[in-house]
Amino acid sequence: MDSKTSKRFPDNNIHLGRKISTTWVIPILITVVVTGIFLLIPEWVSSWTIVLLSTIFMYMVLSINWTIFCGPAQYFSLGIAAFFGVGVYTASIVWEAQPALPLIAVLIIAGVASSVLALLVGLTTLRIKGIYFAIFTFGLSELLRHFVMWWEVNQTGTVGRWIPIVDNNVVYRYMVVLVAISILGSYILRRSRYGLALTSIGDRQDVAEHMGVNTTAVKIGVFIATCFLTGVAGALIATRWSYIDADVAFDPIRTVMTIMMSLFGGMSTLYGPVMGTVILGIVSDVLLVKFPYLSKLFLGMILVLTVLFIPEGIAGLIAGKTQMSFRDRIANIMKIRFGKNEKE
Amino acid sequence: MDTNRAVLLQTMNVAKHFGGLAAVADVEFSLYKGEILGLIGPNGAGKTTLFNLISGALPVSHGTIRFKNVNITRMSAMKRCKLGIARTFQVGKLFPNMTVLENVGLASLFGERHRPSYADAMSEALELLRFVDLDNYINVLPSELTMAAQRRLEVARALATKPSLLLLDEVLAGLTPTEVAEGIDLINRIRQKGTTVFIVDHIMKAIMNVSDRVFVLHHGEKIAEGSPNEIASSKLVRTVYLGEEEE
Repeated sequence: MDSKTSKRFPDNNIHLGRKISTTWVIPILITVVVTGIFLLIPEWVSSWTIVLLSTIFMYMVLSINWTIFCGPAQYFSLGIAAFFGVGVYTASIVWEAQPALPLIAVLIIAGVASSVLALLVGLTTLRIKGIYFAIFTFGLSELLRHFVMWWEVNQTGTVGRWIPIVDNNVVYRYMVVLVAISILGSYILRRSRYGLALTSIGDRQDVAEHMGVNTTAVKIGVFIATCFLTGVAGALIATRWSYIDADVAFDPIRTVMTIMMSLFGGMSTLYGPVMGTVILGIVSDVLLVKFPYLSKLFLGMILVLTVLFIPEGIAGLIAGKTQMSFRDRIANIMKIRFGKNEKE
Repeated sequence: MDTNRAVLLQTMNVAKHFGGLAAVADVEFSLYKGEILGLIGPNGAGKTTLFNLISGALPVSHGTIRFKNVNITRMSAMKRCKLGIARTFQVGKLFPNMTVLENVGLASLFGERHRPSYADAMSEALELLRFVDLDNYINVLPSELTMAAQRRLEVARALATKPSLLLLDEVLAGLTPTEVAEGIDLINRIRQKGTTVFIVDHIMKAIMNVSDRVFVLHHGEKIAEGSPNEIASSKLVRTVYLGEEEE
């Protein structure tokens, strides 16, 4: 009726969900300030801390980018190691061919290579159901690992490659910037039309299409963007290693760790993966130092316990989503395991 | 009498086979701009399948569908939506992880050719929620609404794509008589906005009340077409459809 007033939001007390507004300025400012502080940290702490922080931030980049796509869209990529490894190998090959290239150029080329792979994967498999996508991406990362190995053994004759070493503090600083880009990107996407479209795809893809959403384009677009940063993170961290081979570059443990950290932190929020990577990053480092042979066993237990008891992660605990008591949860698990009815 | 009115949607020989079963067999009909067309038929007559063919959820086995004089037979559901076809779904297919406002807002954002800004789309959605009387529930999840409210939300979401043709798939089924009356009122208000409506329902009274014309589907074939009165008094329809409904 009153078209003039209806163009404006009616009341302050009505909260409009994912409202996009000019208040973007504040999150960007916060990100810039926090990033600035983290960039200065190498001045004050030991190089051991910087190395640990770089690793944690690397997983933070992987986790945030994994949850950006896989959380709302409900397509679970088990191919993180593939996009990571392509970034690593691309960096090594490009740098060998063009040693004069600056680090930033190498990183961008590595990211583009991962994106191209993501585009191919997206075009071929993102039209099919989520479960096939998960299996396909896992297969892809193993296929790439074995293919590169086979290529090196049979074609080039040398296994592994050199990669120029970059100063730890430089790697750290680039990684901080990558984290900032990931967090800001995730924040903006969550509040944009494409974030909403991604959620609708995860909820009911067929209906989303009837609402005019180009589901294939949205899925592929977001997937490519997240894989770009995954590839860049791989290329960047590889400069700490000096030597790479297929087993190192495409190590499936990176997929496992990333998913574990995301689940542990909670996939439904932005701060979930951030918390998950910080906590588990430190825990896994401590475990590796204290129990070198048992550390992966402990990490496996954490994963199992997370899935069973806090399926919504730490973020879910904080938001009060996991209201079931410990006892109820055990009963619930037993029921699922042994197929017992609630009352016998 | 209908020849001088503009045709909005036309199907020619449209058929859908599932294996050997013809769910929809050579159906031909026209929908005129501004009317409410009712579709009735016993369970399994192919009503929802016909809707799926028109909205693009399923590809036709053969035949042609024209909408606004464009051949849309091979068009994706997404493109048909942008061209002006919207639908509701028989079983609740709201987005469970999105709020009531977001459910409608998504359709406002993507439903049209031109893309409105996020804020414009959301205020549009809010206006539609007011239209269906849900503006007090914009921040809850669809699962917290009553069945009748969920149906109204489905309608609002479909309307948010700014359709010229709205397909309503059993929006009144399972509602109380009061809610049905409210639903009929809503459908009439939608027509007043200038939207053409194609409605399937089991509630005979509703269809007969609200429709300008009714056509009857039986075993995938169109067996009758006419005004609600003609249909209600047709012997053929009584035997295949109304007869079976009597208790």
